[in-house]
Amino acid sequence: MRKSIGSQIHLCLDRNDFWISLFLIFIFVVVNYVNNILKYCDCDVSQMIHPMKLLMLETHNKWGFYFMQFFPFIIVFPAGFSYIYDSNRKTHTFLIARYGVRNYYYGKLISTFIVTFLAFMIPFSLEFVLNILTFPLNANGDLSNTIPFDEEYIHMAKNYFMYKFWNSSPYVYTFFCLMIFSLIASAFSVFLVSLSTLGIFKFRVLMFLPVYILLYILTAIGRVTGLNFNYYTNICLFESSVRFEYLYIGISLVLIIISLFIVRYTSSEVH
Amino acid sequence: MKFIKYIFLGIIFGVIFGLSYLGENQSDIILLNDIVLKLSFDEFILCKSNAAYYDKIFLYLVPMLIFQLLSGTEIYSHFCTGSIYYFSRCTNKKIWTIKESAKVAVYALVNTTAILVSFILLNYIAGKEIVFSFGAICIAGYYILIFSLWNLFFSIIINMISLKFKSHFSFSIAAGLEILFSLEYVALQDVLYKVYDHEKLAVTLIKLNPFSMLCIQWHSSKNSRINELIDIFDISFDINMTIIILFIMVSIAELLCVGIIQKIDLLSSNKESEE
Repeated sequence: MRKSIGSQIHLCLDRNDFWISLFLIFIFVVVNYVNNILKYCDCDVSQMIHPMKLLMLETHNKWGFYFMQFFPFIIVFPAGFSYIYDSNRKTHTFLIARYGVRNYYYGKLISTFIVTFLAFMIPFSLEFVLNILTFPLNANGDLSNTIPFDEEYIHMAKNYFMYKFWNSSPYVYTFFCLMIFSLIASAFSVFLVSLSTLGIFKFRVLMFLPVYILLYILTAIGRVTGLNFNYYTNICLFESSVRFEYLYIGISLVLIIISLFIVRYTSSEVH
Repeated sequence: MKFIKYIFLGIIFGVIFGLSYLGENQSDIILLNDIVLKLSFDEFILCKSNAAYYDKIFLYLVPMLIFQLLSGTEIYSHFCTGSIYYFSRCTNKKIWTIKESAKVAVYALVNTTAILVSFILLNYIAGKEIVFSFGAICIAGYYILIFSLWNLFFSIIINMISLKFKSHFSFSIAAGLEILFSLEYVALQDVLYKVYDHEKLAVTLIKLNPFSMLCIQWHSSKNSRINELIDIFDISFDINMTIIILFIMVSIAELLCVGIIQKIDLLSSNKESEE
């Protein structure tokens, strides 16, 4: 099983798709970082904003907003097409003969998860480290321009996702939230790969459909019922209005379980 | 027949929009021009910080993207498997290309009409009364024309680019372009909100953006019965000019497509499964 995972990760990294998507996310991150430097160049420490609130994934960040519009398409690119490439070139017969049917299919799911996780996590951790190095760590401002010990700010901060964790250690909390973001994206791409093993996608472009439809249905349900299920306010960091992060975490767990069942069906001898 | 698939797609989206409109609207009388303007992005307001309104654009842009995704493989599918056998019976490839594009045009028309009609029927069945007027029927005709031409243009472009690169690449370019054009309104929000004062830079930026062709409320018309329902900025952005520009764009894309299909090599057997 380990060899199957290792060789499939190697195959994914050899193709262009992973590097193109990594490059795209890097562009957004670097532009945001340079923008922050130019904007807060001469700012005094007492008025400077907390370095973790200058990350790209913060909910009200301009470049994060643009990034989230392309998010349903960027999820598919790193490793979503791996089964289709394998079955077109017939390398899957070679790999099944070498590692066994179950090891191949389950290894494919795990390698997709790891590759997509890496494609999202590497640029975000780079920005995390760069922000810690360049901006002063004793800055405590907030983007809504309130005084740090103001009643309004404390009331707003109590609505963050896992508020006590943010209180005790802000940097570990931010890294943890970045990991949750990447985990949700990886869960979507694992679901896509398991759907592609069923053989229903005649053209590669139809792989974009399931994720887009799922996110759109959630937004439409939210609009009909009046709640806010938008994907770009619910999985980004530091949002103080009513949010439903547990909905997205729950959906990603359900998608992983569904994909395990699908792969169990395709790898069985009856199929 | 194939266009049942596109009618079904239009009905689904018309029902979704109709349900959300029913939930929001309390009165019993609905004007037809309200419905048509809502389907053409009138909920998006150009103000100083309009990023919060962006999800209105996203909600109404998705049916067009999904239509382009599905119809972007209509012409391309004939080149995927057994293309030599298919084209050995085809004497003139230029006329074949034009016939296939005409089929895609019919699908686009049918899809847009289905969205509008199912929206109206859903509200009618729910017991509301719908008011027709001459201006509203003209605006509905403009809506169907503009949106079908836009969808047709991008379908032809996606088919054309997929012949050279793969289908996922061409769709991401087309969808990326559409989303980029719509993001320009948020990116330049500090300049664009001055259009209410008729400032020159703001007016030119709005007229140059291709996405403005889809917002009917920002256009103006020479006919006064139509003009009183649209034209909220009072800039002279003629709606007939938009339709002529879209026709020209579609014909240029069609000519390019004919030119590329003439030169394609049929001996490479399956384009979609190549690396």
